[in-house]
Amino acid sequence: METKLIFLVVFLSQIIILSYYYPRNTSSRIRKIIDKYPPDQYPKLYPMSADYYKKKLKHFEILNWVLIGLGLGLIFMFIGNFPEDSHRERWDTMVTFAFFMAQFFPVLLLEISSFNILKEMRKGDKRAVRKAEILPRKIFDFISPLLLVGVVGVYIGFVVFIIYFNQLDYPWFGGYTNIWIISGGNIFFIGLIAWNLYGKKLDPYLRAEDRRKQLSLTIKQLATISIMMTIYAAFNIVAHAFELRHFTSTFMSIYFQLIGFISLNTLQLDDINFDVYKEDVNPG
Amino acid sequence: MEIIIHTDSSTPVYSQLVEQIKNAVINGKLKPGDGLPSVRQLANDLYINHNTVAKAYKHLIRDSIIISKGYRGTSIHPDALSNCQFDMNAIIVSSINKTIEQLRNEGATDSEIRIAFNHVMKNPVKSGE
Repeated sequence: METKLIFLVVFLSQIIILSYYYPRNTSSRIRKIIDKYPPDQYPKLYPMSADYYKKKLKHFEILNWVLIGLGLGLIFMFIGNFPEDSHRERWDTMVTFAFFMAQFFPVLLLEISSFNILKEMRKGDKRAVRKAEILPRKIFDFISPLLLVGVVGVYIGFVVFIIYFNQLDYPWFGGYTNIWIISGGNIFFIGLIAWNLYGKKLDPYLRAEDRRKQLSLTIKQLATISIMMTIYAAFNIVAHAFELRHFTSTFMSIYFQLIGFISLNTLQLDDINFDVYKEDVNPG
Repeated sequence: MEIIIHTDSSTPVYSQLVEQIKNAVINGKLKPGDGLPSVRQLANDLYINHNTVAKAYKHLIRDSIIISKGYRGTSIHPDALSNCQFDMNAIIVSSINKTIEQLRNEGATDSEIRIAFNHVMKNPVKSGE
């Protein structure tokens, strides 16, 4: 009963945080941008009409309300039927995972819209004068060595943990596949960091200092997510070994909320120079 | 420090890059040992072809203004400041002028010189042949 109650509270928190709190923040941020930096004064910010932004935002909000409804429906389903026995099939974990993926979907759609907007922005940028910093961008310009040591340390710890665990002969244990999965995730993150550091500037008008702030935030987020992903994978194995599988959906939900908390963080609007989007400014 | 290129200028973009890096060395904005962005980074930041930046860097390496340290990137050459005085373009112009003057003295017409120059540029004769 306690397990179920704890899970229900945590799952409700997942619904509120990821489908209500963050979407509401995102919506209010976008509306604030449209109100504070209108198309007539900041035309470069709007390669597409302001109606396009409003339409996409409306879709985003509707999808999140649908997800809140779906999440509450799942809560009622869990109240009626929750597998509290550690040996039973963990369908609750599957449902929690699938629901998180569904919660991620509106964010993904919004990201795709942002990419399209930035693509149009680049297409519309007809300036003959282009500027770039003559400074190499290196990872330590954006994160502390301590954080990177943390990422590497946790990864090495995980590898050692898996090698040790592999000797214990648990029939359910995936063995070295765990290392490949975490390594794959980290390689993906390294690729994302390299793409952010050396790839094409998505927003052609963004000032170098604002880009640095954005890069710093993104790289710190990816490094933190890498640490959390590795710890969560180890934690899951330990929970399985100690017959705590009835808690895995709760752990998973907490993990997803933390991932959301970290990855949905954005720069404060006041930290971004919007003057670059005015018609008369040509900063490069 | 910023690099500024004009894509509508008659000066090729790679020459603009070379000149600006040289000027930055002369003005002390870039000092020996200072790192430069990778070819990919600079090309992507300026929305230009990677080959254009690579060509500029190749010229700067040839003139010992910058040095490539392989995977550790590219940096300003220790003797960059003195090497900036070296102007390959001036040497080429002076040398061609001398040759043209000599050929004219020997009776060659400008048309013959031009045709021969174009022919040699298209079919270079390797030294020793």
